[in-house]
Amino acid sequence: MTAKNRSSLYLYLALVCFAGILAIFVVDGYLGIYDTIYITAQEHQQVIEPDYWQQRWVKDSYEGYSLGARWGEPIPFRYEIDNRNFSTYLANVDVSVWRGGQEVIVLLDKTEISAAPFQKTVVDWTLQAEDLGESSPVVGEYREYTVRIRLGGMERRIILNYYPEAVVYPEKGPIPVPEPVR
Amino acid sequence: MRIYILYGFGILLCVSGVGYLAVEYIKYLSEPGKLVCLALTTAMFALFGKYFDERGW
Repeated sequence: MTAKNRSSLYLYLALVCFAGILAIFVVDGYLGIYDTIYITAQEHQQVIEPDYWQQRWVKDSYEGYSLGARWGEPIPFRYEIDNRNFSTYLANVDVSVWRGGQEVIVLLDKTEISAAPFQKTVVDWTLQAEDLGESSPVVGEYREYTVRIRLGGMERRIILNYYPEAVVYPEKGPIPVPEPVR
Repeated sequence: MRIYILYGFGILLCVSGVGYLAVEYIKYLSEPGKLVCLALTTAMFALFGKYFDERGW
């Protein structure tokens, strides 16, 4: 092999490595199933992007996404599934609310979803506080619930911090007049 | 001279493209995927170095 041919071979192999890097980014980094969750609490829509669950502290500690909500207000959820594959994606979605390791209510039970290749599909549901079977927290109390969303083998946890429906301040009585010191 | 300017543009665009892909998608790569990427990057730079060495640079 001449020196020119050998140097060309190195160049071609380097280009093959470069193409391999691009292919890995596309196949491993782009293709797949990606889910986005939209939650509206207190008139503010919060978006949980797919990369939130990729963060190391979330993966290692299995923490969920925490948000505050006022008791009594309905909380609409929108679960968007983006199918970045060449085949149709079929799966079941299960949504349930838990507290203290006990299941409180099932919002969606094995709801079938289907997403065409490179298309998105959306599942909507609303969580009503009265469905949780408890009364409003009292002033100074916060109550936490975990909403578990299961899609195929994936599970997402959203921790709802409910605080009281309305703040009620105790009535002030007449202020006693101090006695004069003689 | 012009050919080297073209080389420079090409290299710049390639690095920009890979940089963009890295920023956008590296967080979604699996652990084996990241390892293979690292190995390919190392091999790519080694082969480029060998290529320029053979050219006498």
